[in-house]
Amino acid sequence: MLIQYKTRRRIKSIAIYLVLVIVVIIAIFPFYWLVSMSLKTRADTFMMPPKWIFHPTFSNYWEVFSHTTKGSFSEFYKNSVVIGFSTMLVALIIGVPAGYSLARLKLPGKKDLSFLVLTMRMAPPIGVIIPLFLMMQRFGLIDTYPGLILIYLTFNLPFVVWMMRGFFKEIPIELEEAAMLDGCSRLGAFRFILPLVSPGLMATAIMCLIFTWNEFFYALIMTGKNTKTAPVAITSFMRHMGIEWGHMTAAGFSIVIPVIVFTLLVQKNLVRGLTMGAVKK
Amino acid sequence: MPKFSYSWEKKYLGFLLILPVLLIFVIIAIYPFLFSIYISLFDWWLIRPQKPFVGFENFVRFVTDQKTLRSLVNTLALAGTVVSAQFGIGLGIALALNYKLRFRGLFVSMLIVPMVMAPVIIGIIWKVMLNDVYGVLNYLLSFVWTPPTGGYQWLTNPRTALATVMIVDVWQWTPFMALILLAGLMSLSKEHSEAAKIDGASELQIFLHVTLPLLKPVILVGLLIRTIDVLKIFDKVYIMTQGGPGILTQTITFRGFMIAFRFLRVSYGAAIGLILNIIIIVVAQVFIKLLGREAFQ
Repeated sequence: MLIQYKTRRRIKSIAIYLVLVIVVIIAIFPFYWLVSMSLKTRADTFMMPPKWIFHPTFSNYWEVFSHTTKGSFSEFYKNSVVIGFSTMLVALIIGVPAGYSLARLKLPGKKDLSFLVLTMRMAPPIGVIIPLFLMMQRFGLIDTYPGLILIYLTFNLPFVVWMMRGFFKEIPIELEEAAMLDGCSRLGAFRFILPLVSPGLMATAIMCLIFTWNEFFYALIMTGKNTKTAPVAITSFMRHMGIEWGHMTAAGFSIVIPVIVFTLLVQKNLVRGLTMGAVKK
Repeated sequence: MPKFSYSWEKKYLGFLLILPVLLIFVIIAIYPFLFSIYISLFDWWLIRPQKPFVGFENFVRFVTDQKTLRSLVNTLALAGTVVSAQFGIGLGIALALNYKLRFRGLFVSMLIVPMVMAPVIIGIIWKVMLNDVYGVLNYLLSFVWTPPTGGYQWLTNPRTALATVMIVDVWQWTPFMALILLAGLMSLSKEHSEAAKIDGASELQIFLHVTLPLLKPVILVGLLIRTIDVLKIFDKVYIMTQGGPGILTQTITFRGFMIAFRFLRVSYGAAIGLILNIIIIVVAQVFIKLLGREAFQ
């Protein structure tokens, strides 16, 4: 009886591991395929049946990144870096104090204001972009860094404000009260607790960076030869050079890999960020 | 001096700190929203100098234009199918992950990969894998199923194109559903299920009558976020099918993009954007009513 129970348990746990391993293989297979395609020679990418074992080569990466002239992929990659970090910095500088204000300070209509921030994050890009495109066209902001950064604030700013509001709320209020009793002003108290939210701040910053880095729709419409970001540039690969799968996957991997590294840093807060604080782990 | 600044701070600091955000919101959200209502009432094409006032004609056009209507149907079909599949499969994965497992952290880390990959890259790599001649998926499939003449053309066959887009989205976002459900499961205390066990409830009964009701808030959050995201879907469609074959995989956002930025009819595009906005607000309101505003704290 007991042995039977034990073997049943064992079978069950083996089945669970098996299912999970299959799930994980399905989940990461496209990533694996991206990496392996990027390391194949042109001839190997067209092999049928596909080559599972091959001599890896970095020539695709070399060919994609060796040109640094205007209109090359490295130029667009640089655009992505500049736009990603600028957007993140602007969103943090403006958004963090606002998050503190919503978490702690006296403000009329605070609840409704918070809710407005939350709903703004859900706005559909197609509704946002048409009026903004027309406005930016008038001010000559199409295909400029400031124009794209401003558009990226439409989703990053609500995100920062909302997330930081949540992180500030988790700090015990007594700490600030103590600091203020010791003669700190309110602003001083804000500066005093800022280090305490730094894990949350880091997570928020990195997620901002990821959202901006991966963004495609706005960039497709708003950028031209001066500010094209890497995700948009990679689609032009598709047309101009025929299907250079090796180049395309090498460029693709170079877009994906920093995100995966950053994600590992914020893994703990990722679900919280993607659910706007509704699910905390 | 401290006293003065203290009272000053008490009154105005909260407003002062949030003021820059409010100003930016006015510029990038509130004014554009009103502006898009305004332009939707005209018939403005970017290539024409005159823009006659037409009232609600653009909104009427939305329901009479077969192509736009089709994009609405496609989008709703996508949302319904994709989100239910993600919920069903995600719940299964979450339950499996909730067992006493070694390597749970490793499993979770790997499941995160699809959801942080840029949608553009996902579109590209799936397109590569689905290629009818050189695609690895068709090669793997050929072991269990003889391909039709000309190979499987998943993305260009009218019967499979939309389903293929669905599968790719299910692949990308099921882990998200699994992870938030797992977070929900792990936060449940064992008390309730153990009490039910003592009362003689079976494992299935406990799951249906104890665990699921307790998970309701987390489930609703997952469904809300996924539904709204799928209603806005664009990137994968743009990369993998360009809305084709014909208009069979066009979504609302794709259709709005074509109308506003390919045919340059910005007024009609703005009307489409507003209608999608309304759909999303309605969906969000329904979910938030069920959840209570406090859920997002």
